[in-house]
Amino acid sequence: MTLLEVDDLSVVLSTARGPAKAVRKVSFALARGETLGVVGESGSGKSMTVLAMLGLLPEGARAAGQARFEGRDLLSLDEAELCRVRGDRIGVVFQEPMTALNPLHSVGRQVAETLMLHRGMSAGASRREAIRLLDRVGIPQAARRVDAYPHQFSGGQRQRVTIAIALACGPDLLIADEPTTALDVTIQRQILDLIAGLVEEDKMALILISHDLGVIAENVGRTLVMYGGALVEEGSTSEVFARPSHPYTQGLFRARPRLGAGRGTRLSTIKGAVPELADIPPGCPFAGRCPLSIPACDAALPASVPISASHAARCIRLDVALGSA
Amino acid sequence: MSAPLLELDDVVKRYALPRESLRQAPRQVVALAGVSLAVSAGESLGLVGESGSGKSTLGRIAIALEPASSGCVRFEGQDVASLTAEHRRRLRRDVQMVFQDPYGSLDPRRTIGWIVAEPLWAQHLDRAQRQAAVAEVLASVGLRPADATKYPHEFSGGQRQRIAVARALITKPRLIIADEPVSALDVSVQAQVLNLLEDLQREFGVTFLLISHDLAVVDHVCERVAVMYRGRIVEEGSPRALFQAPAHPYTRALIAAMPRPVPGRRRERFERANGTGIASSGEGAGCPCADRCPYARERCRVEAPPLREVGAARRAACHFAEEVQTLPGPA
Repeated sequence: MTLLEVDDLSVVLSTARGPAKAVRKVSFALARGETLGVVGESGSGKSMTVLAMLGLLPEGARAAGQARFEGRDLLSLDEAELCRVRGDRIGVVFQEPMTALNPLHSVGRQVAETLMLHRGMSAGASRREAIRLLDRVGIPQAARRVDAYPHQFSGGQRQRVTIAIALACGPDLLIADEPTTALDVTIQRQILDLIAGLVEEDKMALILISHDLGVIAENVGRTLVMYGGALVEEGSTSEVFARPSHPYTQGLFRARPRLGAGRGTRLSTIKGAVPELADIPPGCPFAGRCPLSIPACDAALPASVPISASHAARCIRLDVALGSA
Repeated sequence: MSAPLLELDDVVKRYALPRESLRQAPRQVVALAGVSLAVSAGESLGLVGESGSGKSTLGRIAIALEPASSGCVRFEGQDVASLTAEHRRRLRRDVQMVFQDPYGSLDPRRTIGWIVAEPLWAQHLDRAQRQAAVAEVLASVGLRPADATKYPHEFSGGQRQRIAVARALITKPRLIIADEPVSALDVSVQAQVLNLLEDLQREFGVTFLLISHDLAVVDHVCERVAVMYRGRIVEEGSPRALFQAPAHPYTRALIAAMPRPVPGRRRERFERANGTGIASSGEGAGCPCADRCPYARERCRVEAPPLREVGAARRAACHFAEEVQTLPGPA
């Protein structure tokens, strides 16, 4: 059953250099209990896509299109209605646990707050529930640590606290936006394992946003690749990784240093740099850097071309791209 | 093996924490707990570890930005702590640093030409000589001489990092210390900078000390790797040997924790149940890894393992290194 259906979602930001299309007609659907990864570099629009769904866009940004969550279009809800969805049916974990937590309140209070707001729990009941949640996300001695403040926790533990907050109301959808980018690799592993375990136990759907192909590969069933605000490739994770098809996805895989490749193996590079949002051409966003681009690429955003039943890419030169892979 | 260019001998670095009480002496944190390391000329050494492991402190001490609390740092055989002003100036020319954040490390109000030429000020060159040097060094990192009149904001992150490398190269240094040079860059741009570092090494024979948390980056650029944990080197060797058969459980854990683009890969955990992995840099007896290590035994809790030879050009600080090496591959 479909939990979330995003249709032609676009976001326009107002920048110093005029309006910039941060998200361009992104459409995807997410079933209950499904895990979805969104991979892309800075400025690809991956965070903007979820912020638009949550009504958390920065000042001056406008969103268009639809994002139907359990049948209701999130983009047309007013602030009060959105507040009832956020933190209740949709839990969010952000990149920086230190800025996501309020330094002036104890972690227990911040977990309990969600429960009091959405569930109308009493102070005592929500505190007991907060202890249970902190224990569940692996905070040692949760009953003793519930009154501690964010600065008394390590980075990994703080991220565990934000996960406890996101989980408090038993959401149907957990959105994790670069949840481990600020953490060390061994801690990253623990947090990803924790999220994977919780998602499985609670049968939640997951949207995991990351710039790291490895993080995506190991944690989600389906993958979206974004570049320059557009969804350039999507498919089951195993297919996207076995047969990256869009020239950008292919370039990304080749440019990544691999363990065991050894010294002296030259990395292939993608020429140029990620363009600024205001400079993204009306056609394929990757055309300026693509080794296969032809004049027609600049005409319009390419349509999605199916590669298999569960794999598609937006590229008009897909036949050549697939041949070269 | 030729005489080492840079040599660290039992270097300890302690920082005093903010005083918590007027009656007590401020607590100290040990950033480096006795590190010995040698880098020969022309070699590239990678320093790997997580935040707080002391790898950046080691870099800063190696370039004499900070004094060591005890121990000795020698560059070309000379103790950097007791250099005369004249020798110190020479050291500043011979050792250069590239920092992580190419947005923070370039002065936004100066032109690229000025920024790149700045290290030459101590060398009293005239204007024409400086300009020639700038043009040459910009070309060597793949930028155009005309870029010298532009400002940092006109460049992308990858180009800015090239500018930072150009600034380091202009004094024709013997040693470049690069502290996380690509971690602020996007993957598609990171490759350009890594290829550049490799080229420079081949063309100019520059010695590199590359500090990174990313094993794959180090594997790509370096011929030797040292893994740090809580202010100590726990393992050292060639990337190939180290990554194929790690001799220290922490190295093993680092490799296993690395996410790889292989869908559905099985994972191995380093932490035992309820391990929180808080770096306490406590100075108890025993192995500093013992509280996190899944292979820890009684001996690990009472006796700290020294960094010892465990093979050809291979060192590890583990009582059971030989056993760990024979475990099936971590990935």
